Order: sequence, then structure tokens, then C-alpha cells
Amino acid sequence: MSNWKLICKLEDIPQLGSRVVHWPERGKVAVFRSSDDEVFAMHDKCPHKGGPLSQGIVHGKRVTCPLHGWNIGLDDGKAVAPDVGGCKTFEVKVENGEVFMAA
Amino acid sequence: MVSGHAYGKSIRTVKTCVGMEHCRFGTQLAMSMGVKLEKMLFDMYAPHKVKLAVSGCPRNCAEAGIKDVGIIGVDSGYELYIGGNGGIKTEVAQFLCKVTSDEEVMEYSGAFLQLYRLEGWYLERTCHYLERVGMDYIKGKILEDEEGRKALYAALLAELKDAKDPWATSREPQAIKQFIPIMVEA
Repeated sequence: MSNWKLICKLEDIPQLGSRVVHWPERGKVAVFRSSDDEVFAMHDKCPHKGGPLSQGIVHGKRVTCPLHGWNIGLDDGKAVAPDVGGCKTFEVKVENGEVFMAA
Repeated sequence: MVSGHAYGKSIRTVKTCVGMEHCRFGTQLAMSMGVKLEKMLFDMYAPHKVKLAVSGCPRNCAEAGIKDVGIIGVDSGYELYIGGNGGIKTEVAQFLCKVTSDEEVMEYSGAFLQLYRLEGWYLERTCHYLERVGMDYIKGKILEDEEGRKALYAALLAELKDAKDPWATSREPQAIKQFIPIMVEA
């Protein structure tokens, strides 16, 4: 995991919001920014019915899927109980106000 | 249309029929007349809601007879009706005048609405305003006093000329940027 790819500036992602990244081998990846400027990335696809998590509401370290209200943990990609399942997450880091994703 | 225009004490969407372009009975371009009125009256607030309708012929598919300002297309131009109401107590709009051009429709209806805006009490619909002041009074102000009518119309246009669409900023590049996906090359 030494190969990092520049995605965008931190300020390009709205706080408590997200951006969608089209990554050829990965498809759509949602990059979230929390209220304290932590950044997370995972497949933009809810494990339940494939809802677009990037359009969900971010709260704390969770995002709520806009389709059926599943809560997905941003750091581990796992659905919050009682729901089960998870999304694949990707490593991201912020350096000097720029967001990088592990290739 | 601005959100508030659907429930505010303001201009409501102008109802029209399909007009002469799409109907064998149509005598006027009802839809474009409706668009012109709606654009002219954009952001117009009033003592109460204001509903308009434009029908392309006297069959009146747009139900102009129960609107605050109802416009009915006829072969020779338009007939203007005012003070209709379709609420709990239905009121049939009263005939105001006949005009021949789109511009006159805008001038006469604009002048009437400006008069109502100036003199109507809060929460008083045009039918109640009309009942209070009387049709003869309106006719005196709008039909017989050409200068007064033009002044009312000019005042309305002056008040509405700076109307801004509050949603316009949400379509600017900076505002929609967050919804555009970021492309990563392989």
C-alpha cells in the first residue's frame, strides 16, 4: 500500500457530505467527509439493495442509506446491527489538505 | 417555479389550456400567453393568493371563469374576467373588457392586480375585494382612466423588475460541483 492516488482537495468534499469517484477497476467509490474532517471511502453501494450511499446522510462515523435507512459504519464498512452485511472500504489519507486513496 | 409560489400569498402557476397549436377549437396561443403572464408576475406577492388562467376559446378548458384574473381567447382577441373564486363559495368571475393583443392583456390584468395589491386588505381575495369596492369602481380605474391604468401597470413592472429566482444560485457551477463525479484514470 505504498501507491497513493490524488483524488481531490479536502475542501472539494462538503462536510458531512461526500463525492463519488469513478475508479476503473472499482466502479463507483463514495468518499465521505465527517464533521471533524476525517475522510473515509467505500463502494457507493449499500449491502442491502445497492442504494447510493454517497447520497446518504453522514452522522458521526456512520452514513444512512437513502433507500431503506440502513446505517453503515464509515470506518469498517459494516452495517450497524440488527442489519448484517458490509461494503468494501478503501484506505484514504489527507495530507496538506489533499485527499489520497490507496491504489 | 419558486417553492413559495405554490402556497404563498402570491402569484400561483398560471393555468392554461393547450391553445390553438394543439386544439381545433383554439383561437389564441393560450400557453404562450400564460407563460408571458407568469413571467411578468414572477415574485408578485399580494394580499392573498392570486390565480390566473388562460383559455384558448370560450369552452374554457382552463376554467378561467373561477380565477382572480381569467382570460378567454376569442377570434377577435381576449376577454378578461376578474374576481372569480373556486373555493368553498364559488364565485363566477365578472366580465371586465375585451382586448385585442397580448400586450393589452398584460397591461389590463397587471393594472387590475396592482390596484388589488394596493387596496386589498390582507387575506382578502379579489372576489371579496370586488364585492367591497364594486365593479363600477374597478371599471372606472382600469377602463375609463387610461393614464391611471398605464401608471398602475408601470408601477407593477417597476416593483417586480428586480425579482430574483432564489434557486438560481443552486445551479451555479460552484454549487453543483459536489454532485459531479471525480474521474480517476487507471
